[in-house]
Amino acid sequence: MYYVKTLHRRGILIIGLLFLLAVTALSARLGNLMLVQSGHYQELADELHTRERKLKAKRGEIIDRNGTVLASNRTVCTVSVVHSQITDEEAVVEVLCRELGLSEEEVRKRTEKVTAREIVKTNVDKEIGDRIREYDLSGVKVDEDYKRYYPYGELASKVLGFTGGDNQGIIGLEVQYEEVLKGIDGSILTLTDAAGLEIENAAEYRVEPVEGNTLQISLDWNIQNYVTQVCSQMMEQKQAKRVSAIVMNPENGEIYAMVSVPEFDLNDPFTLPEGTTWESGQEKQNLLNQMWRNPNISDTYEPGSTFKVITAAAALSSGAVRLEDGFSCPGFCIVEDRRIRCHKTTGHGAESFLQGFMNSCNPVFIQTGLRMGVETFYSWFQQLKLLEKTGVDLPGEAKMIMHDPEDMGEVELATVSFGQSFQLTPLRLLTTISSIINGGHTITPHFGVAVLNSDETEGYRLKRPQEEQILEEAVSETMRYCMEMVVAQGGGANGAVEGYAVGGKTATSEKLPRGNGKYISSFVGFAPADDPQVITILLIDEPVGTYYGGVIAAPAVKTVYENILPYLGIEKDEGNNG
Amino acid sequence: MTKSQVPQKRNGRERRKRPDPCLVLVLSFLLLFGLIILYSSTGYVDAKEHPGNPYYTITRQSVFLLLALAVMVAVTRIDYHRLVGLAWILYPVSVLLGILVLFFGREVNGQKRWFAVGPISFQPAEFAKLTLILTLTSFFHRHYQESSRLSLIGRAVLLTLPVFLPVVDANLSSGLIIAGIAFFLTFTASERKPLFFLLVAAVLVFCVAAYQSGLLASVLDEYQMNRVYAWLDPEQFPLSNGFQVLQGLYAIGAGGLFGVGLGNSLQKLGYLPEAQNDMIFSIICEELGLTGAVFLMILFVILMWRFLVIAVHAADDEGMFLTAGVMIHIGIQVLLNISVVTNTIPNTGVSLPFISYGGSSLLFLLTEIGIVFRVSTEPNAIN
Repeated sequence: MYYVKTLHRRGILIIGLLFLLAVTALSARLGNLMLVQSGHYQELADELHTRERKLKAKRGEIIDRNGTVLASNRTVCTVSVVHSQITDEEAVVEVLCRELGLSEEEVRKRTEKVTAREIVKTNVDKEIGDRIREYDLSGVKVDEDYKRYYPYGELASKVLGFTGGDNQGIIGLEVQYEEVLKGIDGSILTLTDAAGLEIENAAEYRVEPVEGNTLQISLDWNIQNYVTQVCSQMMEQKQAKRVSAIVMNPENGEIYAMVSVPEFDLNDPFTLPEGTTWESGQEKQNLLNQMWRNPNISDTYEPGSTFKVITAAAALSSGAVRLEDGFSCPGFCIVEDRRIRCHKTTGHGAESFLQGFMNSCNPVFIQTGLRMGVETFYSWFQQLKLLEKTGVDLPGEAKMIMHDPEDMGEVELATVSFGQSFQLTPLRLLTTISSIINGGHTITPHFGVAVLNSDETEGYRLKRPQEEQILEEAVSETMRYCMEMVVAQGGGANGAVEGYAVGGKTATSEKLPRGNGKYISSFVGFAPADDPQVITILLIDEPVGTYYGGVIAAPAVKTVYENILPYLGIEKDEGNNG
Repeated sequence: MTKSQVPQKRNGRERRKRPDPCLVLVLSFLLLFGLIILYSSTGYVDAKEHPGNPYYTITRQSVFLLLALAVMVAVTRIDYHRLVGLAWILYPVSVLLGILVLFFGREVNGQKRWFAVGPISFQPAEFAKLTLILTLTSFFHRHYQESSRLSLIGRAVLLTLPVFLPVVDANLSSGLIIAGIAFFLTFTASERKPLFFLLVAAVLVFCVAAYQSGLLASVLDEYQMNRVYAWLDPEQFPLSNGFQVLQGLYAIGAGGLFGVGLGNSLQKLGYLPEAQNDMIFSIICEELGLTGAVFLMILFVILMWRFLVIAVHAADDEGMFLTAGVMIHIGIQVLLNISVVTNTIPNTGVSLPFISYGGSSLLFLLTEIGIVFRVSTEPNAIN
């Protein structure tokens, strides 16, 4: 037993003071962390604690010029499970297997996963979703969602396009107007624990989704529908590979119809036609791409005689020919060392330029082309915007494939004059011909007309590039007259419509390689001839049997016009009897 | 008999003093506060891991607490001189257990620190802390007259090493605490106090120099160095070494001045590892804010102050050394814990006395408190 000495007391006192000092220092450090740096850590912590759940925005509708809904939304369900809330796992697995048609293994993988929410299946029909909801199984969530729906199935499939799993546009207008249509997804921010489970009774921060805008397009459901019927009949009748058509307003470029049969079902775009076989996924994808392709804008072809409209307009504008200039056709024409045949092998004999145009006489156009020369002719391609894309509001437009002017000899010049040895898209051809007959101004072919709010009010009209005068009004008038004469008395007689003055030009292009007996028959026609309000191009790809454009394509356009001209409110010209 | 010896006139008639009321109050408060915050920290995770039983942890801790309180009361009935007398047995046992656990212990997180017998597990390191306090008390009592000699320090070091080495091998933080207890107890016993300050300064300079010169990186293992780097900038290692401390800082930062309210911590929802144990202080910060955290620290300061008063007024040198040892032990542990949680020092696992979850920790802590109570009630204390 010893006393506690001062040296001990001093030691203990120092230890006590050191402790007090350390605690004070730590308090200061704590104050710094909790008051000064608090915001920084709070921010990091918030990021950690909140989970975002997306609220899908309803995609905007696409309506035609009269308000008919072409692309809409259907309510579908997303079925998901929350592991921690499941009480009767066997029942859950059994019901989900049966209702969703999934294997037990697949469902069990989901129910056993310890996450906040595991999606079992998306895009479930609303009826099935409702049925699952009625079982009232704890841990099973059925959320409503939207899926794109096309009320008319195949109608204008290659124009409208369709959407993918996230409701994003994949082809067509759905892609082009993605930003307009998609809306803004909303979200629910919830506090969760470390395993991602939502904390009950915690405040939710909700951002409502904003519905996409409605897109009004120039397409007319009735015209599209009718033209599709005509094309389908034609395809069947001629056992053709494909029949395409565009109906457009030549004044402003509004497209009333764009058809390419066979079309595909927009509500089931990933199913190839019955009987199609493929060996690899890659091959199937290629076949799908083929099926979705819009040949009117994406595929180029040799236009043939319809291109003579452009040669004529260029020649008349440049003063190379006049309508009454005389030509002679012996049935062929020799250019350099080549002998180029006319379609009428016996020859048209002596004829004026106008007659040559009406007869679609190749030697006349070869000589016309040679008179202009490469430089002049080529400058008119530029003037008429042929070398540029039309600017149509669809993805995947192809450009004209034309000779380089430096490489263009007389033979090339000659063949180009009557529409061979180069390629362009049907829409490009139609657009340029429109400029030639509409008084001479450019147009931008398009579908999109206006963007409306989801309740179809207000909104704004879509703007197109400024029109540009590229051809003299007088030449345009002459060309209208020439083309009217083609239908009235020339090779396009089968395109005449009773009571209307129709202008037009036929074409029969032999597909490459030559001599394989495959043709594209086409006809471009507009009405009324003196004041064009509608212009149409129709192409029959690989018809069997008769393949002359004037014989099979012109009557098809005639059928279309007989129906749509009255529908468009274009009055009959009593003096014209077709 | 030298003059510093207390006259031997003990007989059973003399009345014991009443236990220090302030110490009783602070201790009760700490234990109650600990239970409440422990429930808040564990309720959510328990309800998930033990379906329907959010009280799993808190029930176990309450049982431990009752047992530990019983042990504490029992200890107050034992003359502490007899406990000091047991040191010669406890010391070799402690050294032996410390070595055995390295080979036969149950492995938790890659390190063998525990003996497990059925549901009861026990950390020799906890036992070693108590043994060391008793052993050094006995040692300094026997060498009471040599307080001015340098050799006293040397022999105290030699006495501590066999306890220290096995423990530090298994558990760095317990090793630090043991070293701290030995250091400060020797500081108390020795007259050569300036020497100790020099030593601390030298160690600090050496550590900084070792780190700056790259010597530290070449001596320490890579995983140990990574901890140092994570300490310097935890946000660079958010998923590895910086993870725990960063999660703790999130909780602390979220607290602000008054906290998010008792029970409202988000970090306890599985985000913060060891929320019920080493990191419980950060949950206190998050729920009760700076106010609550400082309040708890003040409770510890009062506790230390009572220890100090009891030690200084102890009846004899043994009572003084024992109380000082307990004071040093708890003080170091509190400081280490809060320093780790606030990322003031590199991360090392230390529990917060009386608050963190853990049976054996609580048992030994309350045993020590029992000894202090006994010392404080000893009659014949001077003054």
